[in-house]
Amino acid sequence: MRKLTLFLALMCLLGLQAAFAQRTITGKITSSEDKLGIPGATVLVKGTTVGVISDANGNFTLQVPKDKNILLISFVGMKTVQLTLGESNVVNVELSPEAQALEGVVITALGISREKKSLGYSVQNVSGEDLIKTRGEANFINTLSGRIAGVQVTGASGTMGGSSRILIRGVNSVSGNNQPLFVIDGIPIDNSDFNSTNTARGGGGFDYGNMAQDVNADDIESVSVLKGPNAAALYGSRAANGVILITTKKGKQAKGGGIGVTWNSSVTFDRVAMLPTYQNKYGGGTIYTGEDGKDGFAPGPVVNDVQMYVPDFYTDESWGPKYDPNIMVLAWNSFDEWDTENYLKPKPWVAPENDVIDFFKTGVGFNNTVSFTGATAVSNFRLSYSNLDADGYMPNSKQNKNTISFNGSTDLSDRLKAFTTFNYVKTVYVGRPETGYGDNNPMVRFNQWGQRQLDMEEMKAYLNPDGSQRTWNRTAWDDPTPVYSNNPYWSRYKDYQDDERNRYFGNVGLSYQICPSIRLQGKVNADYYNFRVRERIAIGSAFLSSYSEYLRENTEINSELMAFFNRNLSEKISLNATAGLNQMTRKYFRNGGATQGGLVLAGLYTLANSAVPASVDDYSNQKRINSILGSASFGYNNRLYLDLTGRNDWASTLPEDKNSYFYPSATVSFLLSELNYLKNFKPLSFAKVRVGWAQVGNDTDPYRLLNYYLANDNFGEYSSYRLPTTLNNDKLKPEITTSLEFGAELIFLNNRLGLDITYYDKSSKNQIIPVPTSSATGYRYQIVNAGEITNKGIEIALNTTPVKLNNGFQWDLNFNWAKNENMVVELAEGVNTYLLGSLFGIEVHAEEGKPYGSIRGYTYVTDDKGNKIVGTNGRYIQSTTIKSVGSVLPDWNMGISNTLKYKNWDFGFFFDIQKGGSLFSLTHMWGMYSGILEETAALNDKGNEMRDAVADGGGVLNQGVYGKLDADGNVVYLNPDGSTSEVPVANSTYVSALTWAADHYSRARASKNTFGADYIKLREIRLGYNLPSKYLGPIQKASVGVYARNLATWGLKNQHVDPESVTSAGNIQGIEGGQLPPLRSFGINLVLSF
Amino acid sequence: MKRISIFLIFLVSLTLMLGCTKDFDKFSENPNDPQQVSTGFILTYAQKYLMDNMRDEWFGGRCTFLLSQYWAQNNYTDEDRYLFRTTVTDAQWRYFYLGLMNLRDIVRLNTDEETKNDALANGANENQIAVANILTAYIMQIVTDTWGDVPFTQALLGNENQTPVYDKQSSIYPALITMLKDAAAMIDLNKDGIKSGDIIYNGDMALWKKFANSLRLRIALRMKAKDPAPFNEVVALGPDALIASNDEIAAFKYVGVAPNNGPLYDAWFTENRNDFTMSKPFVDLLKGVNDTLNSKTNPFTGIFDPRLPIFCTPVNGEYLGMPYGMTDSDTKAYAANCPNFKNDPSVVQASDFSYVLMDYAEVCFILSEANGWDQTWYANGVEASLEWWGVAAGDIATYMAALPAANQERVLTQKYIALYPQGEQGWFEYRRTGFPHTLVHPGEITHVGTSGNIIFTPLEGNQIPRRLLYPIEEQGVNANSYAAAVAQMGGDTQDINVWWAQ
Repeated sequence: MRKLTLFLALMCLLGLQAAFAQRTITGKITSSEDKLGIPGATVLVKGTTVGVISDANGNFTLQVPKDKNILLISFVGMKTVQLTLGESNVVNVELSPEAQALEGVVITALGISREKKSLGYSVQNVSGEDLIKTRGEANFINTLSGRIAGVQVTGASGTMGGSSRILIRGVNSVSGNNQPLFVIDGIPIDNSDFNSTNTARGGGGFDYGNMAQDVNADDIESVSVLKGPNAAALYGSRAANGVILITTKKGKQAKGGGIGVTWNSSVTFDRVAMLPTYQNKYGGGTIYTGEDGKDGFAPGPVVNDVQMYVPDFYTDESWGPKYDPNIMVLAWNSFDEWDTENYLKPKPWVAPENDVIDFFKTGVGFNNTVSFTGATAVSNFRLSYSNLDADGYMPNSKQNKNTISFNGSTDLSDRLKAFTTFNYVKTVYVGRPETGYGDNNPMVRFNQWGQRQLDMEEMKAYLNPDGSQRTWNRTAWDDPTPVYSNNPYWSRYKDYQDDERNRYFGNVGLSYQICPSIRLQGKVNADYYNFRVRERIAIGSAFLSSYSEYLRENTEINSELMAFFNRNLSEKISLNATAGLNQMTRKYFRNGGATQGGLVLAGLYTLANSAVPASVDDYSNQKRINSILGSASFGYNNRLYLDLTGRNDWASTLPEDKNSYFYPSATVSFLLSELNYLKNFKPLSFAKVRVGWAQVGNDTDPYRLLNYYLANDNFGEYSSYRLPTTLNNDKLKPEITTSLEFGAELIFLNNRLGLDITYYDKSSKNQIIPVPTSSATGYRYQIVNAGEITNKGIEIALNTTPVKLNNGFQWDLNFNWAKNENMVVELAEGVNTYLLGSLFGIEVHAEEGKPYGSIRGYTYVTDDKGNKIVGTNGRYIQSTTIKSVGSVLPDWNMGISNTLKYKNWDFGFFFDIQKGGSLFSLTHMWGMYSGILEETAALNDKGNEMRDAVADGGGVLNQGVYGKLDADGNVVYLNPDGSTSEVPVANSTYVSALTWAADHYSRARASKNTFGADYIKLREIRLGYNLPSKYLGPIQKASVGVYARNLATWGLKNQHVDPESVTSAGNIQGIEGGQLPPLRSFGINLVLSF
Repeated sequence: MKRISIFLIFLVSLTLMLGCTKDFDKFSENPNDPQQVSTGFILTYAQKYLMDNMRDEWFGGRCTFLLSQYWAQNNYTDEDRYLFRTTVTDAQWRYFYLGLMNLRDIVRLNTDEETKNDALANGANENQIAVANILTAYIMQIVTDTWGDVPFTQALLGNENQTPVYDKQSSIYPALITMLKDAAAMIDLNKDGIKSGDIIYNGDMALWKKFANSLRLRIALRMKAKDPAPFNEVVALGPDALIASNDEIAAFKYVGVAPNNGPLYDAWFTENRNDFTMSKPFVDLLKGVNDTLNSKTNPFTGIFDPRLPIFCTPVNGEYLGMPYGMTDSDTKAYAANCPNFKNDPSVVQASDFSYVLMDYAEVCFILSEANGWDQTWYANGVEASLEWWGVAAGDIATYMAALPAANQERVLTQKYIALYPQGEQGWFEYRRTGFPHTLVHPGEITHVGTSGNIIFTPLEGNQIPRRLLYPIEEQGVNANSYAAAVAQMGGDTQDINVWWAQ
């Protein structure tokens, strides 16, 4: 404490020294729209790092050096005003709205507003208005996709409230968190992802999304993305992956002094945008080969002395007989006496009238937000309430989200100010769709394992009068027991989940102006939520009935004490410095259980209803990090800027003697356009070059130092404990990420053309990795410090205004383009690949010498000319070891946004483009295997039905040459008779369609089912109209908009699935295990302000 | 001023809070898991983990029960045709070694000066070490017989050796013999047996000693062609040193209540899979009928085995097994006529089934073999098996009366029947002896369909596999050792014979 006092005194003294050269400017900032004061606007002395923020009424007071006479006044979403000071010490400024500000002010770490041109690193801003223009997206994170160069957002298709994965400048950590830190109004909020590994790898289960989606988009004023460690060093460890800095709307004075009210209402409709293309020639099951069959159908019951025939209900594939309206068979629903309409009535064997698409509904979502704002001379507040009420596109799915948000501040004295922010968010879901290769994901039953002739309308009768299930997947015609598959309606209505989350986050703080140049601020930020999840499998399902429930609680408290120093040191040098202390405490708690051995009573979902005592799961952990941090920003003569930061952390998760680590950063920027010989070059309005260097350290998860025994279920009267399968390590060191960044910003032709280009080079070392080791060591993983990942990339933002007419018409065309080259340079000693996750033998690895997320599996064998090698049986041979077929990371991402404005109209559309990256598609693999997809019933190269017998001209010819691998693994060419050939001989051996299709699983699985993840998406279109004020009467502002999201997609490498496919925000990506369909939304919204 | 004081108090308290890291102890202490537990808890886990994973629907149902042709799948027959899921075989490798590590930990806790006194609470140190080592030998033999050369001397060392080399099977076998000799010698009947946690023998050290000797007999027999000395040595111990009755069988009996149901109960009634049925070669063998398609004579022609009605229930009054090795599509015409364990579970699917590690019948058959296909040991073996399966006394008498005299084929075929459902042992013994003759081989006719003979055409290889492929994972995490092992094995395919079969 004494040191701190000394430090503060010193800072005051420094301030006084420089005081003689200053004058005090006061003023008021108002909005051109409503003539009211704008609170929170930034006033900066141009060419320095000195500035203030206006108070609740838009008033400000600022010390300005004598030699400086230009102020920059800015506010997010408003055009920045450059004001030259005259004689008067009082200035009043009016700001008008502006879609984009090329030059201006951005919010940086710790919420400090900075003149953009003074920054030595890249920061990009999006206004809240841009994010909510199309309101079809419940998860605001997805609306960031394509908006910011270097930020890759991948949303989940078709899940309600599912995960969005964000990568800022690639992947840094082999096995740790790669998601950015979310900070809202200075409150770090938790972005955990509780999805199981099984869900993440596409193996099934529910996607509960990542927790940052609780933020209400309607409350967002602006989003700043701090991309590199340079920008984020002050936030500490968790900012190594960048920071998404969200500023919410603040209270301001309403017209006439009262309370301002804004109502924003919208309705959005969701439709399934895309399904695989199916074959429509053959029905389900297999072709019956028994002597007693007919036309490929097996004998069923004898009705009135007539032998009836039945399809194969048992096999969940579509290799059955060809459709023929003249063949009459008994369908799956013909065996229930109560169903008089269908009982024992044969039907023609034809394609269904109501196909898969008819299973889905139109989702409808209503979103209403009402907000109240007000301000007096000493206080201001904003209070808002939002409600989102949506019916999903799947039967029996609902979502309801209520948000209350309050923020306000009040001056307790001239020097002392109190402020607070409070948010309460409650989300309730019923019937989230199961994802991936899950038993109750209807998509698996439609696209991977199912029968094509099934009619969705008929499937709706999924219940017998006694409440038991009716499924098409009967054991036999006279045995209705489900084999593999529930009726999809049963899955949706009986085996459903529900969840509820209550979240509170906010802060309370005091700010005290010690002397004109020094302000102290203390605040406590808190983020708490409880999250309850319940999952059910009903009695009568194809799988053992069960019920599970989990309650999770997460609390994070950040206590923070900061000193801000803001002063000019001399006529040419300005200083803006901070120093502070932070303590982070996180506590996590989980409690839950699952029934065992099934449920006793149908329809009762409690743990007590377990056939045998339910299993119990409880877990808690806690962690603390203490930190000291500081920063200093120097400005010299309006053209050279230097920023320095430093932080030291003490982490409770590291070994006691090695738990302290320090990391610094430095950036320099130089304004070329201030140089004399460029000043007069008219086409160039602005030019800056910058360079930055930074480090960020990182600790690890709790309890990774010592080894513990893990409890298992008791075996009768005996307790059971086991060794862990991961060997911990008591010698861990912190991880370190180092980054170097260069950039340039150029503005031409009076803001008609702007270019911002950045190159960066990052390296993350000493990673704390559970390295997989041979199980023969006794452990699957051993935690070590090892490995290095590098990311090098280029980001380009190009902002243009191709057309700007005097009648007010303006067309803005902006491009964001970013390319990141990721490389796993090294892993641990003796380990050259690290398994992230796998599904059906397809593995996703961090592999040395390859980009992160290498997709590996058995591949084709090719000769040196690239010919695929085919055995003499006409089937491809496959590699003897698994090999990489691509990386999940894309080559580049691009966003193109168009905004056209004319008088009261505005029209915008936005393209989101990805090139490269790979996705393994299980839908493709099993969809081919089981004869569901279109390709399995196509014509072959002879123009014949491929499903006809090879002898009859059917079958498929695999492109390639005959050959085999010798003992050394070299290709040896063969003749069709199996004798060795000197030259390649083209394959001419046809294989049956069934074998060809099944080989998508059994031969070269990775090669055949992995596709490029390229896409071009028309992400959104919006047309808006502001009603002219003369019609509005008491209403201040009214606007109406229509919008559409995900309207069109082009350039897919695999027509059956959307390449944007995640089931978790975690590191296991690149596996599509049973994708939910992507949705297309349309909506209309209305905004009224009073 | 008052406000400022409040603010200062706030500042001071905040600063104090940040002041030190002394409270970090509280944060680094794991509230969830213990650092010390009774060795008995670990033993229970190790025994159950072994059985849960080895005799389940995966390594059991989709590997060894098929390789031994006890069962066939009634749909999705890739594995019947020797295309195994690498995820399943890879996982089994892991299960074996992770399980072994828990046994190693019991040895450590009973050896380490710091922990051995605490470990005494669950029995004498040497008795606990012996039990852990007997189970280790049991598992290691299965591991090496499944894959061939495997990590052993450098295995289970944690971070002390992260890339263990693969020992040759020719050195693992003698080491297992020694391990069992030492374990039997170490058992001290005058000291405390295992007090708690031993599901197999409930701490009866005399029985553990007999199991150690019997297991040594099994292991020595399998390597007998390479070196008969260890076998002769253990036979010389005399039958009293071995498992000597059905009461002394080494078996793991499940509680019969979830989560402690037998793994095959779980396969049918928890996972709801009904993918497996009896295979035709096995059913025909038990029915006493000949394989006319391939002109093979049943060594017990015309004798109906009373164990068949215990192994499965007839459908429409008839026992029909699934022809082995057919395509998915071909299975359709037969599936409905084969035993349906879902509707009629056998004792094997019982929730409290006793899964055998080694039984008295096997000891009898080995002693018959040791004594030139001795009739008495042969008859004792058959009778012991019938009794264990609960065949009625009258039926036993009838069957024993009809049983033809001992010879190589009959002894080994009866041994094969008695080993059911130890799929892995059935498969290993076939590889050692070539019996039973009645298995259907690739290229042979498995059935006659509507369009003619259905030939058993494997998806991989052209014979009954001699081993399984090494885990894919080893190619990455233990690459050099893996490569050396492949070189010394002569490849990594399913057709390569392990050392004792060469």
